[in-house]
Amino acid sequence: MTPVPSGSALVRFDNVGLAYGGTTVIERLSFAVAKGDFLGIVGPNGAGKSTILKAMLGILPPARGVVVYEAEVHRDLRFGYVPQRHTLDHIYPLSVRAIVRMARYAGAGLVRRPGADDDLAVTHALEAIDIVDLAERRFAELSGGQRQRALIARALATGANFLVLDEPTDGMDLKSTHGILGLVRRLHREEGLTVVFVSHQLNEVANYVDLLLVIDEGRYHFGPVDEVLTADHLRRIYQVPVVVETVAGASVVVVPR
Amino acid sequence: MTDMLQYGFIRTALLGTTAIGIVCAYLGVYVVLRRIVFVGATMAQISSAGIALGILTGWSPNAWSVGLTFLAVLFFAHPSFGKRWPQDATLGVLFTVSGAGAVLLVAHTARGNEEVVHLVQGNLLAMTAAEARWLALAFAGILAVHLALFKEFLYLSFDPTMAATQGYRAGRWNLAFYVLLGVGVALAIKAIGILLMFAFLVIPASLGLVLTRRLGGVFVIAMVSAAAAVYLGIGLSYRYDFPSAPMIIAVLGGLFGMGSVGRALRRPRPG
Repeated sequence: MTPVPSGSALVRFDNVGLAYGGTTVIERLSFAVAKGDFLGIVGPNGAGKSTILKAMLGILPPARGVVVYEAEVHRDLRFGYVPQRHTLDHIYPLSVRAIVRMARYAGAGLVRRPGADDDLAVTHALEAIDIVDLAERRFAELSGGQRQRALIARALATGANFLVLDEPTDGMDLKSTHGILGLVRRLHREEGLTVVFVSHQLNEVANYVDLLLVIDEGRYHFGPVDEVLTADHLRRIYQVPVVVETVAGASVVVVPR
Repeated sequence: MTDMLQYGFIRTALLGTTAIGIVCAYLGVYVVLRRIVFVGATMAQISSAGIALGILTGWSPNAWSVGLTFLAVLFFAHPSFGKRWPQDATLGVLFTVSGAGAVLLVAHTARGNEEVVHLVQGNLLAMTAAEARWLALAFAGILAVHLALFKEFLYLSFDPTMAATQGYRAGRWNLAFYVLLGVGVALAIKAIGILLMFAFLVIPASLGLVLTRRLGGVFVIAMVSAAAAVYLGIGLSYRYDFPSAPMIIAVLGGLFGMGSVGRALRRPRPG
C-alpha cells in the first residue's frame, strides 16, 4: 500500500474498516484524496467500491479507523454525488429540470422553496453539461447517457467542488461511455473539480484518471496510474497473469490466453 | 342526484369521506411512486385489527387502531425492513394474520358479523357530524404538513442517498412519512373501512399517473378524482340503493378504466 500523504489531503482514510451490520466489506483501507485529484476506484462487482464512496460522503460511518476531512478545507468542501442511475425509479414523472433543482432543496432550508438564485444555478448546471435542450424532457424518456448527464448536472447544481460518481458508465455503449468520461475529465480540467469515480472496468478508467485505487478480494493498491498499472501489481492484486500494452497511445490491460 | 343533499346524514358522509378521500389520494401518490402499495394494504389491515381490539375491550377503537398502526410504522420505517427477509413475505404474513385477527376478535361480540362487514366495507352513512368535522380537521392537518414539506418528502422519496449527502437524515424523514401515512390510515379505517381506504390510496394516484406526465398534475388528478368519486358514488348508492363504499370504489374503478382506455387510444401506434 502506498503511504498516505498528509497535509494536502481533502479526505483521508486511515486504516478504515467498513461493514453493513455484522458483515465486513472493507478492511484496513488507507488512501487520501487531495485538492484537484482525479481518482478512479476500480474493482469487481461486490468488492465494496460504492461502500467506500458512502464512507467518503459521510453516509456510512467506519466500523474501524477514521475518515478524516482536513479541518482547514472542510468548511469549503462541497460534495456533488452522482448515484448509479438505475437506483432511481423511472416511475416518477419528473423533468430533468425538476431533478436538477433537487440539488438546491437543502440550501433553501426547511419548508421554504428554492428561489430565483437557485433557478439560475440550475440553468448554469444544465449549460455546463450542455443539456439545456433536455431540461423539460422527462427523465424516464432519456437514454442512459442523457440520464447520466442530468445527474452530473444535479451534482454540479449543489455548488460542488468535489465530484463523486458511482459507476457512471455502467451498462453504456462505447460511444456513451467515452462521452461521459470525456465530460468528467473536462469538468476536472476546466472547472478544477476534484473527482472520484467508481467503475468495474479497469481499461475504461485507467486512461482518464491520474490516480487509481484498485480493489479485489481484500487486496488494495493505491497510487498514480503509471505506478499501479503495471503487470506485476495487477497480477498480485487480481491473482491472474496480466499484460499491460499501449495501443494507439492508450493503456490496455489484457489477460493472455 | 343533488336532492340527496337535503339529508343531513348524507351531507355529513360527503364531508367526512371527501376529506379522507382527497388526503388519502394525495398520500397515495407517494405510496404508488415508492412502490409500497402492499405496505399500505398491510397497514390498513393492522389498523382494522386495532379497531377490532377496541370493539372487544370496549375502549377507544381509534386509540387501539392508531397505537397498533404506530407500532407497524416503526417496523416498516426501520432501515433493516426488507433487508434480511423478503419484504413481501413479511407483509404477507402481517396482512393475513392481522386480517384474520380482526375477524376473530369481533366474532363473538354482540354484533360480530355486522362489525366484520363494517371493518371491511365501512359505514359512511353512520358517520356523525362531529366525527366528520373532526376527520376533516385531522386530514386537513396531515395535508398541510405534507404540503409544507413537499420538497423534502419528494426528494427523500426519489433519491434518499443523494439527499443524505446534503445533510438530510433519510431514516428520520422516512419515519415521518410513515407516521403521517399511518395516522391517516388508522383514522380513516373506522369511518370508511379497509376496502375504501385502500382504494383511495391506490386508484386515484394510478389514474393520475395514467393521465399525465407531470407530477403536479398527478397530485391534482388524484385528489379531484377521489372527490368526484365520493360525490358520484354516494349519489348512485342513494339513487339505486347500494352500499356507499363499494359504489365509490366502483366509480373509481370506472374512472381508472376509462383513463387507461383513453391513454391506450391516445398513444401513437408504431408504423
